[in-house]
Amino acid sequence: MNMVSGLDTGVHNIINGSGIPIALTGMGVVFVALLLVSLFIALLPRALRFLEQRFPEALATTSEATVTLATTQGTDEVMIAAVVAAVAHSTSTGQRG
Amino acid sequence: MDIVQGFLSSTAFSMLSWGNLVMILVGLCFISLAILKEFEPLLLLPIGFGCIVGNIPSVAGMQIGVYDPGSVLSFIYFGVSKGIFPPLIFLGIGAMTDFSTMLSNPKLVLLGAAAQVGIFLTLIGALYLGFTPQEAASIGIIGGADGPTAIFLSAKLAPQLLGAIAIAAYSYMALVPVIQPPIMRLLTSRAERLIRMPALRQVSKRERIIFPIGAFLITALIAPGSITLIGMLCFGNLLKESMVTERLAATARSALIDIVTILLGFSVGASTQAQTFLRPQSLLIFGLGALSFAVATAGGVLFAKFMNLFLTDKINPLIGAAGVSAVPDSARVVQIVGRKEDPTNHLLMHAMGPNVAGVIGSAVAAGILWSVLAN
Repeated sequence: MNMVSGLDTGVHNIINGSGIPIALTGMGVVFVALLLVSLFIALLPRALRFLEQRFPEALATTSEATVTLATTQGTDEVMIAAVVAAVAHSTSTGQRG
Repeated sequence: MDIVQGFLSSTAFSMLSWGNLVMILVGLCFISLAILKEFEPLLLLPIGFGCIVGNIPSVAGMQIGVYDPGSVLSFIYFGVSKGIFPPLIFLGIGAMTDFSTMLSNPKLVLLGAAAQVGIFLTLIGALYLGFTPQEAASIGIIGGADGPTAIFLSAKLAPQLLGAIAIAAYSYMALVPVIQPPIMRLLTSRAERLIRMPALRQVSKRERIIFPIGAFLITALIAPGSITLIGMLCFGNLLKESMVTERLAATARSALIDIVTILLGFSVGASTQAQTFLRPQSLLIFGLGALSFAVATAGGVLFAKFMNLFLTDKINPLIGAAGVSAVPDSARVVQIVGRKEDPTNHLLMHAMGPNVAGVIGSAVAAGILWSVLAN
């Protein structure tokens, strides 16, 4: 008996509480889960490359959409920058209307 | 005169115990650490003020405290006691976490698993000291250095220890820069601390989108108990990476997580009433929590050294310490300790891999313990 806490201490608690099997199984399952996540991450780029070769059209469409979106956004940004520059220029040179 | 006497007897002064005074001092200490030392201020300040609020005694019959049914504080504490707040915090963490560093070097994920050894060894230690298996598991999870996970598991398995476990978990998270460096230096040689790691590869957008779905399926199928925490983490990350729900991701990583942190911190602090908190068991929980955290740090560092026996591209064993899931504090500590040896060696990005893997690892560990010990 632990006089400080009033708890019953001893190795028998570990045995009765199945401490060792729980700890070993728990640690094992955590390792297996993260090992599988690790393998999944390692294989993901290869799987994507394989799919790209196998189904080039489907993935190309996605890529194209992304590129188109990026280009459109880029164009907008360029236009906004051009308008700001034009306004700044007209302000500095005193132009109106 | 009777009215004045009645009023005086109803003030908190007449009911204040030495235990309440101690806990108010603890609260003031937390607030001081948060403001003066900037130790985890977002957590320690709400917890500290909650400590003060929770230790002002109320008149019998008035429903004020966290444990008084129907009180306002009890409704806020409902989110803690039923494990509602931790998954919401995980949602926010997912929405703010960039898993690219982990995706670019998948072997570092194993360091996040190794650091969970602290949880399971402490479980054995707590059992030895006479705690029930449910209490021992809840104490062990402190070693995951993940406050929300510790609260989630203890709310499910040992609600009577929730206050002490939450305070211990958040205290050790705040003390990461104090606890970890000596252990890291003790277990590594100077030559090991000087190891430089190769630059990380670029991770594609598609990988970042597919990862949260795949990782959730793997972990949830292996440990269904972790569905709530990992599910919210991965969902938050998908909101961020998909780029089509930016508003939702922005809310999850800012307003939502801030609101939940305020409510969680304050109500956990308010739950530390001296009558329930100041017990010898609480001291044991603090001691075991420190042990758990130290073992977790050592486990990560030693496993990194073990991995180096088989790797051609050696990894700096310091990053093993980031396997505990105190994101990003542990990774920052690795960077600081690494730069003390070589100011040009930047380990932060490498350490972020095991750090976010540690979040997944501790949530999986909590899920396993919950499913094994719930009945």
